Amino acid sequence: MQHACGVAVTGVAVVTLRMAGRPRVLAAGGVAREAVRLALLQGVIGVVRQARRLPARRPQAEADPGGSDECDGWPEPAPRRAGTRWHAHRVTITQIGVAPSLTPVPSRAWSVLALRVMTRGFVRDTVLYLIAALVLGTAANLLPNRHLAWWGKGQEPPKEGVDFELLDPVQADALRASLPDVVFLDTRSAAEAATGKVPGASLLSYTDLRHQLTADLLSKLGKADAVVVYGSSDETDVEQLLAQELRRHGLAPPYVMAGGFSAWAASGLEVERKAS
Amino acid sequence: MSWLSNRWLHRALGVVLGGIFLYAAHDKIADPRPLLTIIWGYRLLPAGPINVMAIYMPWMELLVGLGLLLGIRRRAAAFWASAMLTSFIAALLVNAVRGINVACGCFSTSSTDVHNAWLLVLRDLPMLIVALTILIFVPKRGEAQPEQASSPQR
Repeated sequence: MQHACGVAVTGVAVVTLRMAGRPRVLAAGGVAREAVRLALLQGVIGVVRQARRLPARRPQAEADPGGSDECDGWPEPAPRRAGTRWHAHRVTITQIGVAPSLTPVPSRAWSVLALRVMTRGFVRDTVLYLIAALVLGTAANLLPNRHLAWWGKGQEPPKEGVDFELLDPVQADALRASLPDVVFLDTRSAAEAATGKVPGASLLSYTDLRHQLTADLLSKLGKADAVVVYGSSDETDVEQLLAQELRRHGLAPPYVMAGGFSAWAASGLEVERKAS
Repeated sequence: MSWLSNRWLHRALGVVLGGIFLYAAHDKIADPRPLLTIIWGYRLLPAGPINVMAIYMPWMELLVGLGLLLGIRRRAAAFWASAMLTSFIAALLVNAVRGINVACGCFSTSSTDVHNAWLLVLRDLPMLIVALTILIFVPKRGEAQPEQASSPQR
């Protein structure tokens, strides 16, 4: 009974091949169901057993003392090998149906081949991802307005107290009231600024400094009593970077307004809106 | 544990994780300069490699996101996702232990950032588990395929 189920399925498969029309379809469905059941039952168990037996003798020469009472093996001489359930099907059908066109091969060779195919494909795909990322990153960094140095040269992140000073919106408003020439720089987009900004603020995009940070603007900022940079929200990393950039151009450390324009508006301070 | 090899589960996990990676990548691809400073803020790498990371990491995130989402070489994409998430978690853990204020990849003015770093680790861990699930448990299919054949080496 050890291989009876496999033989039975195979026999039905062979008969199915000789049918035609609807009976063939119905019989094929039954064969497929049984084959899947056997594959699930035998495939994983068989694969694990094969893995443990490497290097192994040809499976058809082995007894299987640990098998279940019900159908625990492929019919002789179909091999049980790692990742070759489909191969076993074809071998079985051809061997029983007509003359065998495929001869069983030693299990170790098939196992090693399966291992090699999977490993090679996985490594290949992994390397392909790496190559694609390298190509895209290099191409993007060669664009004129995006160029970063290929190898960093001692760049430091912006530091409070060195590159900028923090202040809240109320303090910024007090500064604006007390000093005659306080320049506010808005890092948001034009569309955002059109909905409301600090009165008299100028737009300055950090991603377009190459074009916007002109000599005239630098001169104006250099003459101001104070420069306050703000963005849209609580995250001020872009404003801190801009402040660091201004300092690199020789200006005194600017102020960065914590909370951005959201905090300014929430404090009930004066807001300038673009006339529609 | 065979349900972990269900290919529909893998597709669903791939869509979710791929979407997260794509969302994370789009800002960094638009402008990598803040990323440069964010990586600096972790105080883990010398100056040279930081620029390399800032230039290439967003594109790897984009490709991994697309691969997971669309099922293109999903296991390789899961491998790179696992590698990146492991490095992010390690960096966050190091800074959380050091007490360095690193919150959500931004400079922070809040003294509660150390707590945020631990929360970020907890946020990244499920993503790492998802990526490892896709990587380790190969979905079963009707026919064997070179990349996804169940193999005895696990």
